[in-house]
Amino acid sequence: MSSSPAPEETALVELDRLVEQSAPYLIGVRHHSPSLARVLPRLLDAAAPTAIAVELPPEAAPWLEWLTHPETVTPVALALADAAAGAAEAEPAVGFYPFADFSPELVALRWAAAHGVPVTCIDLPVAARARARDAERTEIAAPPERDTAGYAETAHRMTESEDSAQSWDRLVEARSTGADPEAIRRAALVHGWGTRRDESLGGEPDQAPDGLGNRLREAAMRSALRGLDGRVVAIVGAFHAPALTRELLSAAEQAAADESLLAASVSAGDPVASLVGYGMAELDLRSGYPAGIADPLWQQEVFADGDSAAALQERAAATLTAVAREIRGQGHPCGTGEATEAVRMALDLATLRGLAAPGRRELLEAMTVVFAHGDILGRGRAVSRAAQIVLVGDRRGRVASGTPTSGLVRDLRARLDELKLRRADGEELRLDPLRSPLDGRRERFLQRALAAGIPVANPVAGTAAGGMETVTTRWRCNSPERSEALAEAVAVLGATVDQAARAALQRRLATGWDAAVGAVRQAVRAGFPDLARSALDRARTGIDDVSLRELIELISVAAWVVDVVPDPDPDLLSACVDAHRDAVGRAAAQVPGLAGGTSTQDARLLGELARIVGPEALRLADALGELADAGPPFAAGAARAALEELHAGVHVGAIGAEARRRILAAGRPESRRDLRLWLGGLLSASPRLLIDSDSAREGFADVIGGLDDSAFVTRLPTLRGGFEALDDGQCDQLLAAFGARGRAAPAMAARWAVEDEQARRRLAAMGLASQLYSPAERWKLVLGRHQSGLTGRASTVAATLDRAYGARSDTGTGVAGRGGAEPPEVSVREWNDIDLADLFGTDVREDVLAAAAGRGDRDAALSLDPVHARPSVELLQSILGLRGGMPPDAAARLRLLVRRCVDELSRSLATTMIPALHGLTTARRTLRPTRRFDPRATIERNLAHTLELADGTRRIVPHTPVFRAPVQRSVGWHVIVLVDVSGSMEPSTVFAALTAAVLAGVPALSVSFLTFSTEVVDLSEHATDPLELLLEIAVGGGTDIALGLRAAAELIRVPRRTLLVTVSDFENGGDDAAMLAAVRALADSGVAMLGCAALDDAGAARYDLHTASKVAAAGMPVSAVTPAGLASWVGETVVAR
Amino acid sequence: MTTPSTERQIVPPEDRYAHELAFLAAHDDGPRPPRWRLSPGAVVTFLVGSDGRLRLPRPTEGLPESLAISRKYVGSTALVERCVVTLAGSRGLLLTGEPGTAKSMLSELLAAAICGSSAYAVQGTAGTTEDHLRYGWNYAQLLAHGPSESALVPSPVMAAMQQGAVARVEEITRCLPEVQDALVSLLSERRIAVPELGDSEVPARPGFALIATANLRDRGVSEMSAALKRRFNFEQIDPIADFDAELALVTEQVSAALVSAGAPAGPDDTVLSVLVTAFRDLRSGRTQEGWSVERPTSVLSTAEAVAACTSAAMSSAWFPGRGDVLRQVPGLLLGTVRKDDPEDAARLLGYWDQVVARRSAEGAAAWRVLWELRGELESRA
Repeated sequence: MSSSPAPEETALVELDRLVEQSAPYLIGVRHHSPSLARVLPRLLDAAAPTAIAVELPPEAAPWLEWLTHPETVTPVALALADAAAGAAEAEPAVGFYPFADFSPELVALRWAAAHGVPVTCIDLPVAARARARDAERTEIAAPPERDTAGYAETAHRMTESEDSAQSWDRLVEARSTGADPEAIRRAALVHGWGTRRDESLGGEPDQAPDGLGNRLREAAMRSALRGLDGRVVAIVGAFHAPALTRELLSAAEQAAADESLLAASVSAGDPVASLVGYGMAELDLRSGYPAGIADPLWQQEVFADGDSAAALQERAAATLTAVAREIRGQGHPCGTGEATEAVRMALDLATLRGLAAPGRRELLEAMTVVFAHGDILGRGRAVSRAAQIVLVGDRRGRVASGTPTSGLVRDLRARLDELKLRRADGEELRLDPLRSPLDGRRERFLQRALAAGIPVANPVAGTAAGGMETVTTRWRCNSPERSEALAEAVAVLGATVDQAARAALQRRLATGWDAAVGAVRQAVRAGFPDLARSALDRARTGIDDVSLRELIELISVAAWVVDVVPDPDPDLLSACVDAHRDAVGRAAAQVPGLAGGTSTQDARLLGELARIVGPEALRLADALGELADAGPPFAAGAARAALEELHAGVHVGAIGAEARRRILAAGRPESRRDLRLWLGGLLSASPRLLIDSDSAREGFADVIGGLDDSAFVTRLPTLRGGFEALDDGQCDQLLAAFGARGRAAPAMAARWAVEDEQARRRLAAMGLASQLYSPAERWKLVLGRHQSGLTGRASTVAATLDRAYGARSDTGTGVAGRGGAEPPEVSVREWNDIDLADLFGTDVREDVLAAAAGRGDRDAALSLDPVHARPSVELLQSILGLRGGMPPDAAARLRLLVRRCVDELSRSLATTMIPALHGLTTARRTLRPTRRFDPRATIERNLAHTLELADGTRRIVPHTPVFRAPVQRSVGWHVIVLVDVSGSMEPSTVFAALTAAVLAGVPALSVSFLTFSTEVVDLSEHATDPLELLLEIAVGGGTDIALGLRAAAELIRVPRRTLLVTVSDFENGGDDAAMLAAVRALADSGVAMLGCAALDDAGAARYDLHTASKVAAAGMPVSAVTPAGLASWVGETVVAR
Repeated sequence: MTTPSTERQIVPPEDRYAHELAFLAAHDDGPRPPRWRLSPGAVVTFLVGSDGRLRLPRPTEGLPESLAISRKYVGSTALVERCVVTLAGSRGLLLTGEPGTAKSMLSELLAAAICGSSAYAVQGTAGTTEDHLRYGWNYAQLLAHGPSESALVPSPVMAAMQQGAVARVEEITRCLPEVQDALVSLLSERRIAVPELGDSEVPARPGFALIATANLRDRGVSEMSAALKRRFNFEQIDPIADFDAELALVTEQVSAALVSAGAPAGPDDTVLSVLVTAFRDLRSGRTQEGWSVERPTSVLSTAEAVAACTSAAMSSAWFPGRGDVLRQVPGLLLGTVRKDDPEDAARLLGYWDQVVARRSAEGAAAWRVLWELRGELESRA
């Protein structure tokens, strides 16, 4: 543009010379190009060559007859590799060439076969590429500095292309319809010349730009062309054409330079090859297979019909109509009117852009604009799926019978022999890759074979446990015959094990987030650092859409590379550091989503996250700090422990202080519950906290040891419940640590003794000295370990607690004995026989019984007094969990208890909810005529409508009369409560039932109640009776949110008068896309929706923030709400409409 | 227009670019859809600018011989092409996108280029009634003389139908769905029946087209019906993809704001560049370096960037003694980010820890200053 005219003129002259050159006659192509493939026979007819040169490596020559064989059906793929390089432990040199009807090279080969013209493969041998590539890595390819915009750059800007593939599509392919063959050839050469001109240093087009690889290849091509006589046609990449000018071919010094370059690099290799049937699906660019092209079926049509604009326009119309039909097939309305508009749009766009017929770009634009309705999630996905089906196609190719067998099997056999890995099935192999070079090569080969899907041997579990690489690795071998059979099945991946491993990994990392993260490890182990890096990049782009668990996996993979892998590739290392940082940031963002949870697994995740990230994660520390200070007890405990994991030693004081406060406050039932949860969270997140940290342990010991006996006994069941988070082994270690403390700190032990003595004296004065619990006994009781030494009352207490919380096995250290057999002493007695009130006090008695009931002890539940038990959601949960298989009289007794809980809870719920629903019970203003006229509102509404009378005064004309609609007239609001019952009986489930019943009591609302897991149950008939509702709910199963939503959709009568409340943690086990489509469809139909991540009196939730945010984006806002909050949402929504 | 354009706060595009429109009309000899002032190709040129100067085929009185058409819309040309093609057809054009992505500007420019007026516009609100989209009555006249054409008050949409012009409905999703649906029959039958006047109806003349804009953040307030969606072609307007283009736009608008406010100094390039970078990072969730950033929920459009940059520039222009303007950047970002969700302040802090810290570590001076201000951000967040 702004460059001076002189270089532009030179450029034009240069280009003209390139196009007009006849020896060799140059046809610049792209590997897949429907336009050039279509006109190539005509170009060849006109040129009437006596020799044809194609840009394929010489190793391909023996396969050409099979490629052009009449029985061969496209698409097929030719894979070439140098087995010698692979065996020599260098990274394999490979060539992978998929061929379709629209590949110009294949068209030229077919033409040559039909006309009996000899073909020469002029590209650099595959065997020589490895060296070129290795050399390239050491050169730094800096983009040249230019004052003016380059040619290709200008072309990109003008066509709004992102890369040269796109600008090729827009400048060469799209403009080729009905064009003169010579014009297409010229356009292709110009495009290649421009791209090259921009990339080459100093702007010299005969200097191959990006390093030794291209220089070598072009030297090889020139060298081969010099050896050809007669009318030669060279079909080469348009980019390389400017390197094959007559001047360069004939200049003696260039010839000498080429030969010396080649002599230095080319060595004899051991070529292996595979020619296999390929599929349109793999040929598609998005499949992850190399050397593909977007939308191959459409390319095939352009190839067939590109001569005539009219025919191609018709094809475009047919394609768009087919996409519309496909969209309808997926359940989205898409009529002929829309198809017609899309066709018009595509044709008019083509006209506006000066094209004879619409290209792929115009088709995609028309589909997006007309079909997708601006909706990326539901409809947009359907459109892209439909487009994929119609434009990609499912055609499969096959090779002619008699084609030689796959090179992969040959290579596998050679490698097995060479590495002495032909072993008997099941034989175990121990490798020491760091010490023995042979073992190093074996290790890498086994890893690559594994990645390729040919498990020559399987790693024996434990090889890499806990992220620590052991020095030796162990493998269990499979029989060679089995490996060969598997190799036959994956031959399409490549011609050598190395190539197949690379292709398989490449494909895997394109399939999804989890696969990409998994591929990082595999690629590192298999020695493909570049692939590991692309897998990391893939994982980083999807980092916004994954759960905390998955983020932790990414963090630990990155940490594994940084900390464990010996000598990692420097680029990979920095990519890992980046990925680590990103993932930690995202993980911090997800921490608040765990606030409402009481799951030990979540707490462990938090602890693990804090352990692996290190102290520099400021954002994580902020998020944890907030949770620890203000979160609900379980999450607060877990966050506090995680903080200590993050900054060791810093939070011990806070933990000790909080423990003291909570333990001392645990006199009231609610505080006892909070203490149990807080301890559970703390110890789940960091089981070793008290074992490893002396000061933390002493903080606990001081407060528990300092309690007087009755205070201790009151808190004992709660403490025992909290310390359940530790397994038997950890309890033992903790007890041992206490013992060590006694020995290590005599002063402290002396103090304890004094305190004990004082307490003993106090108790003795009260006549209770025999009940005294020493500090050691106290810890045995709290932890439930080594209780055999206890005597008297302590022993009874221990046995009772064992019955309530499950006995810990006194022998082994495993967790297998947890919650198992009841201890013999208590099993013979019934709860009624134990005087719990005497042991713990009446207040605590209920805690113990409720804990036992929660563990499934039916007798404990029956021992609860239905009249005096404290009604709580927790108690309801435990008792409801006990229902199944109970004798009728027991069930009746429990029912009394449940009824009382339900009644009490419903009553208090109703008092908070009813005021919010007030709007539903008062009359509303309406324009529809009713019996009650509203004069005031009518005057307000009609102030603008006045009439001037003859006497000059004005009078309001009641153009729009306003009425009041009585409550009954606005009936017809339908509330659907959809409850996820996949996990266990959650507080949210209980509250959902109670809330639904309160809502059902409002005259203006009708309520449906659905539960879903992997099946849906309609409990609407019980919606008015929370007791029945709760008794009918069956928990368990997976979570399929889409299924629940579809069932709810079936109940909807008038969408705009329907409210859908979905109670779920949004940990969707079903198809996410289906779920989002269902949400969107409901939102589109006008249903008012609210997702409740939790529905309870705290309004704090534990849910998948990520899925929830996607659901919210699709039209269902998600938050944790209280029943009162839900009621006000219902009230506001109804009044607003 | 009776008001001279110089006295208006905002000059409509058909007046502001009158000379370009007249030039293009004379320059362009391509086929035009009925009643279009320009051919579709010339409309595209009007919006995205000409490559170099255009030359008139023959001299025309009152017009220069050649003229470079300025670029008015910085988004993608292909998008403008699709919009123009849609308007030449029989469906409405619906521009959707985040707030502040120049949807309204695009619709004004298209209307000005196609029919010479961007005035046929309705602003959608929750209070919009069917009357605003169809027609209303002058009630005094209606009562005095009965229903007659002179008592009919046409809406801008009806006026556009009568003129064969382009009507615009801004923020259509803010209208109640039943009000939106008034457009369904209008778009499919291309006429408005007036039953009060007997069999009377107002047909749309050729050239009538409708552009609606919808703000994605409003979605869910009132969803559009499927019937209405089927009568629109959808075009999603994305934030400006190119950093340099956005920076240039912001710089231009900030300078213009400073000039019109009579400020004594121009904007500080470093501050603008830092702010635009931060807005882009936070908006897209990914930095130029490819690092991942947690996105705040607040709107962070180019318009917000302009507002923040203007306020920075104004304060340094009027209060030059206050020291480094960079020190204001955390406050400006916090003010923009913390609108709806208190969590957003924490997200901004996350941006500091993940991105600002790294840029500062890599030695960028401006970012080092920002990193030192983390404490200030934390105390205010």
